[in-house]
Amino acid sequence: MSSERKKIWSNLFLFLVPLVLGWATLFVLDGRERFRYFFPKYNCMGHSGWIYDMLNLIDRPVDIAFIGTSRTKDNLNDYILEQHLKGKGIDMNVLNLGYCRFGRNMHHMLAKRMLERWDLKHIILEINLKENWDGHEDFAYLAKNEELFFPVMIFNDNYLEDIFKASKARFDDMRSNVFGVEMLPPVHEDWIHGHFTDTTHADVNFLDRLAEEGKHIKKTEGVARWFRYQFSFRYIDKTIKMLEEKGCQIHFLYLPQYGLSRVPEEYDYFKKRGTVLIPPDSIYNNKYYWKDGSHMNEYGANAMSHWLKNELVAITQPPH
Amino acid sequence: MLFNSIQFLIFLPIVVLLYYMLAHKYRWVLLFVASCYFYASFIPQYLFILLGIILVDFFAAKAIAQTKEKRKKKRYLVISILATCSVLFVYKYFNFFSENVNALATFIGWNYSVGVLKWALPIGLSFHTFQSLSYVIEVYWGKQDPEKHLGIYATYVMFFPQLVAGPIERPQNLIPQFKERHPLLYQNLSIGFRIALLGFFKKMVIADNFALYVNEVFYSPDAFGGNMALLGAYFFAIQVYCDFSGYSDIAIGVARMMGFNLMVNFRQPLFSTSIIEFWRRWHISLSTWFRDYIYIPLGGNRVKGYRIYFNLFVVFLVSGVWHGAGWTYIIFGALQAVYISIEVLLLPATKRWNNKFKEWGLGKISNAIAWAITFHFVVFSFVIFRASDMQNAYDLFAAMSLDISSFVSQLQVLSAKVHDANLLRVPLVFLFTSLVLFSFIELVLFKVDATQLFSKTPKLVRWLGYYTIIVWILFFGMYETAPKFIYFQF
Repeated sequence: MSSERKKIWSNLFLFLVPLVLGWATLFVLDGRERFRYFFPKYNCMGHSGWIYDMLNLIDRPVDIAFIGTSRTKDNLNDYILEQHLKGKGIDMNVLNLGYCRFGRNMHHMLAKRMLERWDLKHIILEINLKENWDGHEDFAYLAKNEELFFPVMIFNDNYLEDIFKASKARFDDMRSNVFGVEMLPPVHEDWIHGHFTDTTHADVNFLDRLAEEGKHIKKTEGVARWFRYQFSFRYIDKTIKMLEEKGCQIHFLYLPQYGLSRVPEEYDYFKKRGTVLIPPDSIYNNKYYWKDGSHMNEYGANAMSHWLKNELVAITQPPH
Repeated sequence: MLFNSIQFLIFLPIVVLLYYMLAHKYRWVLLFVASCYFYASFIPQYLFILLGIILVDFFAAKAIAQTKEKRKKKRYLVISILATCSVLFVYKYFNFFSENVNALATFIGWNYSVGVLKWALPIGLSFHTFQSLSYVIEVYWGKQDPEKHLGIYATYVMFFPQLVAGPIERPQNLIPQFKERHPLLYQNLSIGFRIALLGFFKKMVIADNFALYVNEVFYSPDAFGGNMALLGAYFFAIQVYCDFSGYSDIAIGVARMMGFNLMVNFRQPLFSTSIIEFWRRWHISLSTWFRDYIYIPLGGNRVKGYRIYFNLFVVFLVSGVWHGAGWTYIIFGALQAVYISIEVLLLPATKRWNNKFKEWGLGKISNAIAWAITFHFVVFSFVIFRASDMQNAYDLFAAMSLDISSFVSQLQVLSAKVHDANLLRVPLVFLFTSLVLFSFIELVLFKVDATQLFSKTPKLVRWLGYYTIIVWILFFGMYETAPKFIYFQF
């Protein structure tokens, strides 16, 4: 190596050292966890902030929790379910922890947090037609350092992006301290259920078009399946193992978009690991219940919750 | 791909590293591919327009050089200019033209209805078309040999550091540099990094933060009182300077990292003591383009009588139109022509007065007065430049005469509005500290060339300076919702 090159590399190295140390300090100091949960404020209407408060600050035990995407959040009314259980003499609190977008790493993380705080009895995990092959876009903001740097697969699409996002969230926390700007809202103690949707209706023609398109979706199989779904499968298996250790049962709830197959592609995989709950056609095919192609409106959520309440009663009964 | 994006921060080191790893003869390929990728990251389809312009001008220049007959040479030149300008007209001016003809037709009761095109303007179109045109014109004048290598010519037009917002390079300066061997030198990397870092500071800390205040004031000129209307006008002058010169600095710095020397585009224009001086310091690559290809061919200032004023008007009107298809830009250009014409008329008198002031030992005061007058004329014209239309400009000027009693309380209201709209914003105290730091750097650069800045300072102090600027950018810069570079739209 020429002396000029040596000079460049050594200077570059020396110059970067303080910057890298400064960056590492962000993770050592770690900042406020609540700030990071409120950081993706434009996603899912800032729902992650409420999730933090629910998981950490609101004083209420939870026995049954739903984890999934916005479909879980929209389609299942946890208040109705809880009231029904209580009406049947089953004193269990139900929580809908659905959060927009896909990503099994997020679901694993939320399950872990809940187990750390509550003596959880049942988790109902949302499943879709296909498994998602990458992580959740907000995982980086909510994850702890070890979850961020040591995911189930280092070689995943989001690894570097996640570290960048996490750095940004921690740095913005530091900036808000320097600026003296308090950006966090107060805790709403009375907001104890996660479901919300609206009463709009999807365009019927649009739903028909979706149903038509749904007929042509091909099954992901072979190497493509193995390759694409590894990230999700590993997180699901890790979640199941963690739940087993804590004596918490897992169940799966199929919530596809409108017009797709009535059985998930990975039915066998999930069936081996727990009960798979599939909503009846009478609800799923009713166009009145949809607010768009993926989510149900309040009427759909009510119908879905009334169907699910009996399923919940069944799964909460001790085995004979 | 914006310079102030994480994608660029990954893209740049990869390109620089590959550039020095590759043998000289393949480097243009890397730069060409990197430039295509860089440009395609905005709107991929527009790459074809750019490549089309490159092909037309490359072969037109070749034809000009091969032809002995003067008339034919001229014909090829005209074809090239028309082809290039027609792209510019269709994408940039057609809608403005159509809207105005429609308005005129309605006014005189003529039945004319031509629709508008809903095509987005290719980013930086005016920059690379002008760079391409300068090549053909130089070949036509015999000042530049036609480039034999299409790849090198394409890389000259597309060189990613200056592709979308200049500096508008001349073939004599840039094309030979693609053929020179650029060894890996610490000095080039160091100087390039330093200049680019200053550019990032100007853009991300000053321009983008000021933009928040400017946007609020121009959006509702009379909402914050006279002081804020005036402050908004001042802030915009600083914003547009930092935005554009920041881009140029980054472009120059990035190119320098690979051993290329791009022309200096700004020399602290806000310190100018006359409008003529301002235009010698502001967007130099464009000003000299107009000087060389329009003003001098029209006769420049070697013409008789009032023709010089006509020449000035033509140049500045074209300059105004170059900036954008809108009456505000045209009036901005015309206003510059008026300023300079008055300055030329008053030149003998101002010289006399300057000399007198100097004799009285008041040279600095005379300079300060000249600077203050120039600065305010510039700010005045920039209000028109920034305004959404002439009514908006008028509203802002009118607002300046509103309640001017309480500067602090008006500033608090404006600041609160900015904070409401943008959750995590740099507090005013840091913003003004940044402005002081920026002014200090500008004052130093007024005396010292940017390449020499920090060059004689001990390494430790120099690096501390770099770290300070980096930390300052990280803390007080905008990188989440940062606006695009203003000059991208031109």
